[in-house]
Amino acid sequence: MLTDLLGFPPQVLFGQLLLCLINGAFYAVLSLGLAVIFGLLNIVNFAHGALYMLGAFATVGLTKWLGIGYWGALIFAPIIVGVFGILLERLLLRRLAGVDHLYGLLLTFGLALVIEGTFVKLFGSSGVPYSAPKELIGGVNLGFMFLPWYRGWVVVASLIVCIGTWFLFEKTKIGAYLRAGTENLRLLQAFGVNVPLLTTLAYGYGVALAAFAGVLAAPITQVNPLMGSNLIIVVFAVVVIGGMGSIMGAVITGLSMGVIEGLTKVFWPEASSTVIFVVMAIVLVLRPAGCELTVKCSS
Amino acid sequence: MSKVVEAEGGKVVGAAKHPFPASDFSSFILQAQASGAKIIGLANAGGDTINAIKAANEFGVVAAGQKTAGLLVFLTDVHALGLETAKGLQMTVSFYWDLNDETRAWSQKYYELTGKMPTGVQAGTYSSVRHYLKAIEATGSDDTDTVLAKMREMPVNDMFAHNGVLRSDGRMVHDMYLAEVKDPSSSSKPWDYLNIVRTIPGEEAFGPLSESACPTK
Repeated sequence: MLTDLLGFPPQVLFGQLLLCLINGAFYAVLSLGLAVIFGLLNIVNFAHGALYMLGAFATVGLTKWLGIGYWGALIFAPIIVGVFGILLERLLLRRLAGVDHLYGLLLTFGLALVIEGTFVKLFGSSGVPYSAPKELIGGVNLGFMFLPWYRGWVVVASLIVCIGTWFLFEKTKIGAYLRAGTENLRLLQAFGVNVPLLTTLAYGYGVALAAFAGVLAAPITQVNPLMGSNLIIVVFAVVVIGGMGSIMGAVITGLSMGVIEGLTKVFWPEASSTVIFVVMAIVLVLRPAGCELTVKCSS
Repeated sequence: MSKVVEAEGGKVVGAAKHPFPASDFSSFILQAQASGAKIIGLANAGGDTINAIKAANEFGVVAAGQKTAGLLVFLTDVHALGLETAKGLQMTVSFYWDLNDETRAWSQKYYELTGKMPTGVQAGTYSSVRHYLKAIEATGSDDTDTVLAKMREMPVNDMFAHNGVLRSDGRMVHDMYLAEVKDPSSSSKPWDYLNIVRTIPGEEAFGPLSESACPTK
């Protein structure tokens, strides 16, 4: 009988495993965007958390002021925030091409503080309410746990986006350019590819992915100006573990870190916020380039 | 917390610690749900409380008959949750803007300046600073011991407290209120969020001086 598995009722354990996947899906989408940006721009985008927050606020704004609703926001919020990202890249990040990583880190971290500070001023630190669309309120009793429809939807939507991104990178011409750009930007330029445009679009896409995760998160977590700052460090660790700039690495690590963190929450809750960093430290000691076997050419 | 629950004849069936701060509470909510507890007490604050209540709502905890009780919930948290999510939540507050004419008048002024209704923290800070300044005015001195003696001697009477007493253990004893978050249908105006269920007399809320663990000096 599975009535008492390791001191925990199976209801708890199965439920937790499912939750792990849901959280992992978030990590996957966020770290995917971070990996795309790092791959092409060589910038560790510390503004990612703030852009994720912008996605959530855009959802609230679109619903409240334009009456577009959740489903519309799922498309428009990433586009709006993506365009904002493109502006950031054109106006600011572009100027850092070729200089030390540290400058990119400083700039994006500073941007995150400015964006978050502005939103604290505008909306207060408690945030604004947002609830799931009517179609996804409620849930289904799976026997071992109650699965809210919305959480199920989060997994489906995240997987679609991850597979779509993988398809874009592996099976299309533009994806081939992007992968080539990750290997060697200057050579790609020599072949007549418009590299500046490519990096701008890649940044816009990475930012749009962050905003998409923000839309997905809006009904689940508190929509507040600092919602991204809690997440960014974890996501950064996920990208390091998955191999900086690796697309598949980011997705798989995102999901598996969700599982590891989730199980830690059951067996040793106090360690759950640390466990990912322990994994990161171990990976860095054993494989400084991350789990991905291919070592990226350093620029 | 456990001591109080057991002293009142309740039983603590389980507890879980969460990392601080945390954005995802589903794991802990599920553990609480499986415990079969009648009441899930949330000994956290701010964003963590909001996220925990959102998750409890989403996983059908409230709908299935378990109640959530926040140990430190502010009116602004209710505002951020929305009544649909927060309805039925029990909370203890030291101040509510819609208690009487005096609180309404003061809160309205606060609202005009900040665009938000005040919480107990804001009203309490205003009240304590004012009490301090009044003691300085009365004694004509800013010497700590003189002012402190005067502050303990004068009762606190303002929009925040009625006959509040600053005790020798440093606690300001005043009435507290047990409140329940309104159903959206019974909320008639902006920030109309709470029903006051019961007034908790100061002596009961803060415990008698003889049981105080704070140093008396």
